[in-house]
Amino acid sequence: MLSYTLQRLGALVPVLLVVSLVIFSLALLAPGDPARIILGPEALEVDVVKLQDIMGLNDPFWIRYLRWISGVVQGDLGVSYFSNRSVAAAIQSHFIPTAQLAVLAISYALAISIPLGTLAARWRDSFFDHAIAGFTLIGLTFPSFVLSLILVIALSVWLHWLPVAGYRDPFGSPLVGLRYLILPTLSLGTIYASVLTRTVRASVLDVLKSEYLDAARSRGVKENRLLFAHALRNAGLPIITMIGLSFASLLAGAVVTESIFNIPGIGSLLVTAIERRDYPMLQGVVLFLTCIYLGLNVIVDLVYGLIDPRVRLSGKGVQ
Amino acid sequence: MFYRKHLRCAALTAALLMPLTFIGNAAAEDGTLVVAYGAQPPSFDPHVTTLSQANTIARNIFETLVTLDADLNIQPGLAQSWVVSEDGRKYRFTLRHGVKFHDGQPLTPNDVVASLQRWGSSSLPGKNLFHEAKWSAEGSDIVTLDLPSPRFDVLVSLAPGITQSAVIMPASVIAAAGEKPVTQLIGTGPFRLIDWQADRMMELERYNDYTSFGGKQSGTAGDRTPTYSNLRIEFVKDEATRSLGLSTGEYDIANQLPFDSAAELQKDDTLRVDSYPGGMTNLGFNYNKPGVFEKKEARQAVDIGIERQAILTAAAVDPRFFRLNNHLMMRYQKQWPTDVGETEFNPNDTEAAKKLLQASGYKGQPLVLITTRDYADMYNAAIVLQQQLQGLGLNVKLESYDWSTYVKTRADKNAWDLVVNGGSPKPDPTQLIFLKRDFPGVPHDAALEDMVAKFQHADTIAKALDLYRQLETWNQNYVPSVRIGETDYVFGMSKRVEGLQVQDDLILWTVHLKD
Repeated sequence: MLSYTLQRLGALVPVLLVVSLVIFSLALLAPGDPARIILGPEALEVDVVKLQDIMGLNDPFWIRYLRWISGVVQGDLGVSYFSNRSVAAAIQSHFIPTAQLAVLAISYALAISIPLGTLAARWRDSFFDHAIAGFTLIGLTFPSFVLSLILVIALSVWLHWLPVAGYRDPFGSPLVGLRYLILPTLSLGTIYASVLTRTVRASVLDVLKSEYLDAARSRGVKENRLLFAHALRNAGLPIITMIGLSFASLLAGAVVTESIFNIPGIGSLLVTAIERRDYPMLQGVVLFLTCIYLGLNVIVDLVYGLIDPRVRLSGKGVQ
Repeated sequence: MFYRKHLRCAALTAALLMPLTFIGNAAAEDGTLVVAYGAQPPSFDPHVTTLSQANTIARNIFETLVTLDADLNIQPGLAQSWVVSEDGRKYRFTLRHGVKFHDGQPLTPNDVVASLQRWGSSSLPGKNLFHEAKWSAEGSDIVTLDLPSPRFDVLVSLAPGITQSAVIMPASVIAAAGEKPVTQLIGTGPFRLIDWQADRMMELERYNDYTSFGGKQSGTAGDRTPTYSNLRIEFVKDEATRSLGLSTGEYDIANQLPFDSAAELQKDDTLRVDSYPGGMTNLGFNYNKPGVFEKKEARQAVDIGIERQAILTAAAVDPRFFRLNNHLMMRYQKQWPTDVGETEFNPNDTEAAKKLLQASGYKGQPLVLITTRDYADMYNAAIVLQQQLQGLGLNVKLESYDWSTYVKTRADKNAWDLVVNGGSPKPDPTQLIFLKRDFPGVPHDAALEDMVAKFQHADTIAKALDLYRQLETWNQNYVPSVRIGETDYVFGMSKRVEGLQVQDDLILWTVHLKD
């Protein structure tokens, strides 16, 4: 298992090197540059060129890449051109709201999708099953910004229950902080609940065809226990895979939701960096997100290796 | 059993979350004014950035030597008095006593000299007026300015403007920034920055050691001591969220609201909606690229052929928020009176325009009109302009970019033929970007450059006004760009907000918060 783990981690090094080069090149390929953005719409070209020189933006590509990558390997992702704060500190502060939102949204999605998906499978082709299919279809096809605005108008503007937008740190003031996260959680979580409900239903349906459930039923196991304790547990692998994918995508930042609810998350940090051509920030955030995806992939691989010995032994020629 | 446990969990979660909905909204905090702006400006260094919003937000923190009252008269600021030599070339400012920066350091003449030297070499108005000026410190409270020749607008230029104000910062902050924009926002103003979460919010508190300018508050002049303790500026990019947040009381003031939200917000009895002059909308020609617009007939064809009311309606929706204007200066700038060209403005004579276009020798060559979606008013104006220009027989293709790409494309002299420019108001016409020879696409015309050079040496307002009228006539005849009109910024506020004044932007220290 140790050699398998080392093998998986070792494979990340060339991937990260290639990714770093691609990230750096793509950022510089985009038209525009931070000097023009800092100086504003009425700046003269002579002032733009002067600031570009001061900021080192006119240096050759390879010099800039080597300067950046040598910092990265030493753990220094650089400093934002705009706020003068370190990229690592910005990622850390923006990742916290995103992680909080991701945990809440995925918890809410699970709380809805597991019972609904399981019961829809049990009462297949019933009115309940069709109603759930309708709900998931709406969730899947509804643009997230429309759902967000409907929720804001209903719960904030009409009922005055929740704030329209903003973010307060739940660790500083838990009740106020949670209050600000409810609307984005409902908005994001409902969409992910739709995806997960369909996955749960399909997986449970597959398992319900198994003969061992008939055997358990004949031994007098109650139907609810059969469904939730036996069928759901054995349908778990695709559901866990889908949860992992959903969680990874939430951690990468829900750009639209963060924008509508004015949440200072990783998605809004990335979009702002792109808009401003804040290269150090843009490169740092994309590299960080790449590491998250790669890390989650490694974890999934390792989990598969733990569950299925054939996976970890395949490298040794064992079939 | 299992699902009963599940249901219990869900019920418990719901029961825990329900009370959260009854905790009061955060905006109505005692003593805190919450103001929502759009996206955070990329820099708050007024010496460097030309973004107006950066300048007007920063004026809560930074101050200037002199100020402007509501009638645009010069009043004292950090300089409590000044003397001008008879030849108008030497100014001697006496600094106000007891003024401290937000870091506790006293304001000294060296800080003023360092700031104004930097402003004079970095900013457009500074370079325009003061590039050959000499600033010197004398003793503990005197700053002198020596000019190579007298200028009529020295003091106005040192007062707060809509962009690139001559603000005073500590010399140490300027030295630390080197040639880059400053990121330490330390001034002498009525508010001190205590928390800045980039792109999210700035928390400012009333500066307890603030030294008032004294006198009745008027415009940016007079006493600036706030009556409330904290000012929170929230940067809310999504304009629908800004409007909704104002409706629910999340924000006391929401600035730069979408034009089409004003009518809806005005139905709410608890809110007030108003506007202030924002900027000018022009259609610029690219003189750096050879083509049809080198011919005056083609420029005149566009000028007389388009219908400006429709363009401005697309940009700003409601006639309350726009005005047709053929002049170089904004209509509220009453100090620059002129009626040149008013009777001939906006004839919308498409037949005459088509004849002129024919006379220019235009044969249907493709033309590129560039714009950006990041400013909805500019984009909407560009859409209507494209249709109108096509109606005149011009083969115009619209290219829309994100802001960064737009400014980069505009700087490329071969990439475009026409551009919708939004220009901010300037204290004098020679500072207008569409007359600056170094600005992308602007014509290099000897008559224009001669007038601008004479303007630089105008020592009285009478001479400046005479030159302005000449400039207006040249503008009318040459058609360097097509003037369309001016649009406002719309803002809304709750009725808890009283006493708000406007000069270029909202003056937030004038607000009184009603209980």
